[in-house]
Amino acid sequence: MTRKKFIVISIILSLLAFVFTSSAMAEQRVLNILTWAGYNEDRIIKPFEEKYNCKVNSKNFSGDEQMLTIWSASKPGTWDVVNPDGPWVKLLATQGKIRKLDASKYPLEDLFPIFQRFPQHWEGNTLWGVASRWGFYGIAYNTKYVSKEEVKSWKVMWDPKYKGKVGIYGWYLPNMGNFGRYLGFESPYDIDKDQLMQLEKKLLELKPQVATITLTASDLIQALANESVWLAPAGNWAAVTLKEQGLPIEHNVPDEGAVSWTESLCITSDSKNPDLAEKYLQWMLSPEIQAKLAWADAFHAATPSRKAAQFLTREQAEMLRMTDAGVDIVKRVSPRKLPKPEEAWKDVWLKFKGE
Amino acid sequence: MPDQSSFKIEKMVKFRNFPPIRFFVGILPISLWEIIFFMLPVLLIFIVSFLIVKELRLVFQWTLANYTDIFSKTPYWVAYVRSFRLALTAVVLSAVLAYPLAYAIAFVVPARFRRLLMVAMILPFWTNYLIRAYSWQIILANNGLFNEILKVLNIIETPISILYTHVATEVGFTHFYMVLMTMLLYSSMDAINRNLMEAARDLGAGKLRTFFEIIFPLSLPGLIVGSIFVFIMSFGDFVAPSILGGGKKPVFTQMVVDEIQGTVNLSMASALAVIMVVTILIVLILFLRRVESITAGSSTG
Repeated sequence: MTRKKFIVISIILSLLAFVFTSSAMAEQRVLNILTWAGYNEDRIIKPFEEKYNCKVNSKNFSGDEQMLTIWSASKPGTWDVVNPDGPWVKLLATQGKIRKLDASKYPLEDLFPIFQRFPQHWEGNTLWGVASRWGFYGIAYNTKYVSKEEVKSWKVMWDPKYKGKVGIYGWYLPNMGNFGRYLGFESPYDIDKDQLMQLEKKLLELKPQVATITLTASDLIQALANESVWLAPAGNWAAVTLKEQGLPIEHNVPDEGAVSWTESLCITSDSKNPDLAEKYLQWMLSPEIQAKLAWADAFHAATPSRKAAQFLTREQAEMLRMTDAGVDIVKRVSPRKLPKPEEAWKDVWLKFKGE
Repeated sequence: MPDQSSFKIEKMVKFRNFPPIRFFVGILPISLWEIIFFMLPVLLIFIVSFLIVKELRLVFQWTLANYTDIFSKTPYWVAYVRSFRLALTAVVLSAVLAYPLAYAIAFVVPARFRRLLMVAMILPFWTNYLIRAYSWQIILANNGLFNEILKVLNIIETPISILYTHVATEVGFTHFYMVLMTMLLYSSMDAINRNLMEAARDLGAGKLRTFFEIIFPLSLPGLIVGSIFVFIMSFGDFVAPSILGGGKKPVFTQMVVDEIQGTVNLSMASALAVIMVVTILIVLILFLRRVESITAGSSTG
């Protein structure tokens, strides 16, 4: 009998506790963010929650398309902050899904010059997003087999010596952009039909060289680590990950140039907490947090703040090319964009993949 | 009187005749489950495959565009044929390997070790499929266990590329699905009436003749059902081809995943999935007919 009483009382108590905590939570403001990995790590989020007495709910995605799928499947107003890659920002603005930002609220002058008036974020004098993290592609290579001299040009990918040793991350956008630079297209995503045909020819010539076309970036990293792949077009961050593990992997941006990617932070138009969202954007752009984001647990990549490097060790900053010397690379990279006509590009890629 | 195994299958065959309504009431929970989590999603995929995606959004506009696209572009067909071939190879390989094993467990190994052997066979399957695939990477990679051993033994100097070829895919398929085949074969062999074998011996048949006239025909249903399973599972498998096979020569399932991951083309992915489901259905119907005709023969004969 007493035992039964005990159970009943404890059930009532726990119900009460639930009611109280949930009403306490209701007073606390909630910020919902839909981001790439890294933006929601405790070192970044916990101090923010304390400072603004709020709760941050987050969800990660691993591709812009995936983000859009999650976003469109959620109720309107679910998300306050989204984190698309640069090329998507204006598309989202046209669809009315994100709101204008007040440029004076953000420390844009702290960013490397290219990101201050970043063309993918500005439309005339309207700002739609801020750059929060970026990186560039190049050749990741195993120094045991490939020399530093060779990777000065993308040409090395077609070298018969490396037949069956080239790894490709199976996404058309960065690869076709990089090889476009190799063919001398200054802005590789704005090319005409003839140039696309040239690109197709080069790609089909590359196929016999390829060891694997991986589904995810981490599968490519795996292939570099187990030496089934000696060289691959890859983001700097992939090489940094392997180097940190003590593997003989280096990264170089070939002289012909490469493409870069930029992650942007935007505030949704149906956000219920636009002020808090603005605070979050400011928070993410502050130098110390930019450094934490650069050296996030998820992966390490450059951030656009010039002041962030002082919060990193010299070694870290150099690996990420966040020193002034490293930023020279910016001159050699073209931002990744959505090509037109996209269908034709995907067809070329399908042929390359399916050959 | 038919022996037990064919009796069971005979019951299965009767399934085709429409059972009374009370039968459906009894299986209501499970059929609801099937309807909600299987039939409806498949129907949804079927419907979506006739729609189109524009700017990452599904547009309600009926079209055959996805199908004409698939039928007109060779990479899809190359991938389809490749999938089919790989799955058939997996069936042959696992049958060749599983048959002697099942035979040994059923007839050679003393009864008291049988259970131990079965457990030993199932044990690796407590590990997640994905993890098993990655473990094969460690073994088959250029700097992996297999190549290192060959190097130490001075058999090779430069590593043989196995990982990221379809040889590795087959290794994966065979390892993953052979157990299934063995189980099914074992259960149909175990059900063979031992008196039949004794009778054959009494009538002067040698071991070989007993095998071909008694054991093999009676184990055939197990072999066929096992083949169906192995075929369907390896045809629809995506883990082994991408983690071990490497995607240089994509199989059909990788095409489906690419449509989702790379471009979120839901309708295209659905159309590809419909083609897969139809293929599997056709194979299933053809094979099951075969089982029916065999069991029908054995119970009358």
